[in-house]
This record gives sequence, structure tokens and C-alpha cells, in this order.
Amino acid sequence: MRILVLIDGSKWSQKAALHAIAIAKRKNAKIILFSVLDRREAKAIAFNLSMRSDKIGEIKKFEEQIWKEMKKSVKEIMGGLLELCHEENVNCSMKIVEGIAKDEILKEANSGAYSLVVMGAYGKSGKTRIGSLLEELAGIIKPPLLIVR
Amino acid sequence: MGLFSSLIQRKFKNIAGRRYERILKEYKEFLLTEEEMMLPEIKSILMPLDRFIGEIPPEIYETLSAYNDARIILVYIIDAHVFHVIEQTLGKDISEEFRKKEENDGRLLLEKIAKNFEGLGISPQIRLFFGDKGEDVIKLAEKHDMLVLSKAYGSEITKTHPLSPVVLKIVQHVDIPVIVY
Repeated sequence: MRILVLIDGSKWSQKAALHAIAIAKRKNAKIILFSVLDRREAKAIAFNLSMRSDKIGEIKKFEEQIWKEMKKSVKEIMGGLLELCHEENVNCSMKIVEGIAKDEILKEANSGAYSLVVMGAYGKSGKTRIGSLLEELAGIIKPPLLIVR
Repeated sequence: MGLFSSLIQRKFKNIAGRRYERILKEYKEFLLTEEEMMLPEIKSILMPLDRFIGEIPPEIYETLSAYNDARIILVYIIDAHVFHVIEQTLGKDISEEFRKKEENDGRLLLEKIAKNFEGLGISPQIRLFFGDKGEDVIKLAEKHDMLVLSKAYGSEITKTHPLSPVVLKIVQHVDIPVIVY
């Protein structure tokens, strides 16, 4: 059994990983921690920051810094989860891709390699509303989708 | 959970110092606390079924067999609203026929799925009643640790509408993990 866990850096995706580990421990399953980094996110943050701080000339520099931070942050979170899997004797690996979240997730989840996909109900914006990505994905992901709160 | 919790501590506790508790309270939605860093325990699983769900994929049995010490409750809810509409428009005899057929179909489906679970060494409980497929599942979910729903529960699905609106409503309103298949 192979379990795909969608990691977006939010608390909810880390909780999703905990559920996946609990299942993997009992089923001797392999976990793949999967994250999509979208360059457009770094662009948007850089634009909003530089517009507000009169530093529009440094927008490219901001974008690069933010992009680096995004990569570092997701690697750090995944590293922590890998370590946790190791402590729990669960076989686990990580995969980080660049692109549009919905497209990359669908490509990976529907590849036929997974028996279960696990994700958080909310994203990085917290509990303001149920994740819009979740609403888009729930109908079109082929393996069973475990949505964690 | 050593390294994982030390990651959180390094990022927040050490930086925030004395303010950690206040920050934790205010930013609870974003920060995974040490108490939450526990592997979840699932003791009770609710699995609503109806005529729209089709076959249950083997991956569901495989996943649920990980919780072989949990209680699994299979529930079939006959749409009370549809029953009343039939009764008011077509009369008592037709509505009685509908009730009998739904009860029979529901029982057969519950028994069939229960048998599949029994093959895995799990003995689920079964329930059948009149009610609202959405509202009643949301209410029942409060007493369980996990919910398992077909994408087609409560309504037929199509290529353009691959998720039943009843399922979407339930997913938006319950506070427990949900498996959608």
C-alpha cells in the first residue's frame, strides 16, 4: 500500500501526515510526502510587499528571497515529518515539484501508484473556510481521499 | 516525536520566549501544538450508504482494515422528504410500496457490505432509518471519529459534477476526518 500525503506547509497538512503515519504503521504502507511549489505565489507576495513598502525597484530581489524561503520551509517541514516516520518505523520519502498545485497533484494522485491520498481540510489561510483546492480535488482524485481536520 | 516537536519549539517557542503561550492561543489555526502531535486514534467509523454509491473500491476495505479495532457503523438513510412527496402526490399505497422497496434495497445493501467487512475480520453494525441524508449524517458524525463517504452519496454524479452536493455539504460541516471515495 502506498499513501500520498499532500503537504502545503499548513498545520492541517501536518495533521494529515500524522493520520497517514497511523495507517502506514498498521498496514506496513509506504508514505510519499508530496508538495507543489508555485512560483506565482512568490511573485504575488513580492508584488504586494514591494507595492506597500515603496521598494518596487527591488521586487525581483524580494521574489527570489521569498522563493528560496518557500523551498527551505517546505523542506524543513518535510524533513521533520520524515524524521517522525523514521521514529515510528514507517517507510517514507518526499517529492517536491514546481508548478500549479491542482495540476501537479492530479498528475501524481491519479498516476495509479496510490491506494490513498491524504490532505488537510484547510490551507495556509487557516479555518476561514474549507480549502478551495480541496473542493476542486475531492471529485476528481481517483484514489480514496482522506480529508483531515 | 522528538525532532518534529523540536522543530516547532525552535521556530516558535525559542523565538517568542515568554509570549509563546499567547501566540499559541492567538494563532492556534496555524500552529501545530505539541498536544496535537499525536498519532490519531480512530475508535468509531460511520459509513453512510445508499442506492447511488455503486461498488466500494478495494482500497477502502484496505484502508479501513488498518482500524480493525474500531467500531464500524454502516447506515442507510431513506430520504424522508422524498417519501412525503410521494405520499402527498401519489397517495398512501404508492408511498407504502416505495417504503417497502427502499427498506428492502437498503437492508440488502447493508448486508452485502457488512459481509465484505466480515471477510476482513471486521463485524460492522448496521442501521436503517428515515431521515435527511445530509443533516442526519452531520448530526451522527458528532459521535464518531471518522466518516467514509462515496462521491455519489445522496445524488447521482456525472463527469461535469463529479461530487454529490450532499457530500460537499457534509464535508463542509463535520469536524472529523472524512474519507471520500
